[in-house]
Amino acid sequence: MSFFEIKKISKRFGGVKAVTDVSFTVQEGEIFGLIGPNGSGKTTLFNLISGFYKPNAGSIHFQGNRIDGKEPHQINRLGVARTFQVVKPLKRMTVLDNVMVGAFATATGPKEAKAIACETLDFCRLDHRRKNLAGELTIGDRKRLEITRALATKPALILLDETFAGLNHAEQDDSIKLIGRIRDSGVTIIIVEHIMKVIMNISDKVHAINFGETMAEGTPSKVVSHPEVVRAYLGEPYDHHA
Amino acid sequence: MKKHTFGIVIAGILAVAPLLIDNDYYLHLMILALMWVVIGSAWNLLAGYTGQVSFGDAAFFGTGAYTAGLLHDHLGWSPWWGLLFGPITAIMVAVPFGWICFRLRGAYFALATLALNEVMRHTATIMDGFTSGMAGVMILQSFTSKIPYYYIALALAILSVVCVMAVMGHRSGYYFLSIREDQDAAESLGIDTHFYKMISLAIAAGLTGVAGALYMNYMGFIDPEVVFSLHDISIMAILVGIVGGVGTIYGPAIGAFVMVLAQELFRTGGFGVITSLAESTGNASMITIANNMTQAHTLGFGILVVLVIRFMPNGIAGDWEMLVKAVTKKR
Repeated sequence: MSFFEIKKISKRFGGVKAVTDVSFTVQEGEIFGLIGPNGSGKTTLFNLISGFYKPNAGSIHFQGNRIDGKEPHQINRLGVARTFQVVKPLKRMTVLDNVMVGAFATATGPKEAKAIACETLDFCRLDHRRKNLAGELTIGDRKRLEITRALATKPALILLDETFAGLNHAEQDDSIKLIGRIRDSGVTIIIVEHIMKVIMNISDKVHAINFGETMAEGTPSKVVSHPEVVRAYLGEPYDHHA
Repeated sequence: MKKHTFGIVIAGILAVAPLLIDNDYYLHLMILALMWVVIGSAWNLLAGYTGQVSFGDAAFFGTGAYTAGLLHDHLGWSPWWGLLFGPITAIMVAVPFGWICFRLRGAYFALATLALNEVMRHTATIMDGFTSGMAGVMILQSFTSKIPYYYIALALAILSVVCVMAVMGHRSGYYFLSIREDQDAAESLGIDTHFYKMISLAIAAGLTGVAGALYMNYMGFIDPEVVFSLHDISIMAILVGIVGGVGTIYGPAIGAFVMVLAQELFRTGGFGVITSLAESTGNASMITIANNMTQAHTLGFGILVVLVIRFMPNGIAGDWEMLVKAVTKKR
């Protein structure tokens, strides 16, 4: 039994096939990259995994539980957290309160939730913003808040949806370090990302999709040299020294 | 304790108020205002904190009122039992409604509450074998003095403010706010948003049901047009919340007193000032104003809400500091 497995999953919206027969397996402790052109179905896959969409066919398994068809909140409680590509800060709540909402997943009361939240804010280096309203944050901090809040629910698997988009280089480097720390803390990661530097640096395995179908899967260097991936997504072969 | 000082001081003043105000008319207004504190706090929990705007609070208010009245009519029980059973029946109306209608979001949910309001009003009118229909329900009041009603209303008002405060300090409170801010984000953080919206609705319905039962006991007469009234109960609940301050603990309490005062101002023609002015001066336009003012409260409330939303979008409690600054600066 694998840690996380998607078996031949398909999702249609009316006549549009968003995802067709995609299968992959993620091992515990891995950083699993998901790449593909815009509209290739990456976010749809995340919505399927996290329960916001129900698949038309196929199944999703996590730690021995079949999770497709379950509600998003049930899937979170089973240990799968997610962030949103278009960030969803709880704007009129403070950063601390945002994270506390997540922390209540395992906390018995407000005191414990606050302790977990502060710990997670420290871990993600966002503690200096704890008293700010989430609506006041810059995009970089908002992206980080998404991760912090999701981590506060103490997941075993976290889905990161383009958490690097819109970040400057310094922020990108910070986020790469953060993702390393998350992995080291024992959380498995599936990451959707367009910035190839990130994918190449941190992923153990990469899965490339186009038009909702699998193009290639394997180590990052193998996938970026796959001719179809180059043609459909990268445009030119990935230069490791660029 | 410091943050509760304001509430404790106000509660203390209200507790001794009847000793200072030996006037049935003013006590009557105070009792109504305290009843509106209960309804406003309930509306605020659901709409202000959970973000589920209700246009149908009268459904729960009327259910509470009818429970008190009908327990007496059919079973001969004291209508005071309504304070216990009113909230239970209101919750029994709220839960199936919420279970179905919380699939709707935003304005669509608000429209559903509006429909519930009308369904309940028509039900109470049509089932006249059970509810006496338009003839209404009449009971004999327990007390001739206003004082006992005042203290019961005060106790319920304090109870509802404390109840909202307690809920908002705990897990459910954080969940309510997160649902208001972003339902999908809340869901992704493991919150059963449908369930917690129902909890919020149930608490709101329960409190509103208590207020209804109090109304039955205090006024001694109800009919469907009064307790299931869209504009006198449901809309008034919204006005209390908005004027006082949406999503604030004390806002609905402040809004309740302001709105009851405003309502009375219109009903009595500026406490009789306009009327006497019109009589003494014989000024034609003054007479027109005096004649129409008693019916113009809807217009007046509309203008009041426009002004509040324009100048104090967070209500009196929410924009209190701004209000203080504006007043002190001018001096």
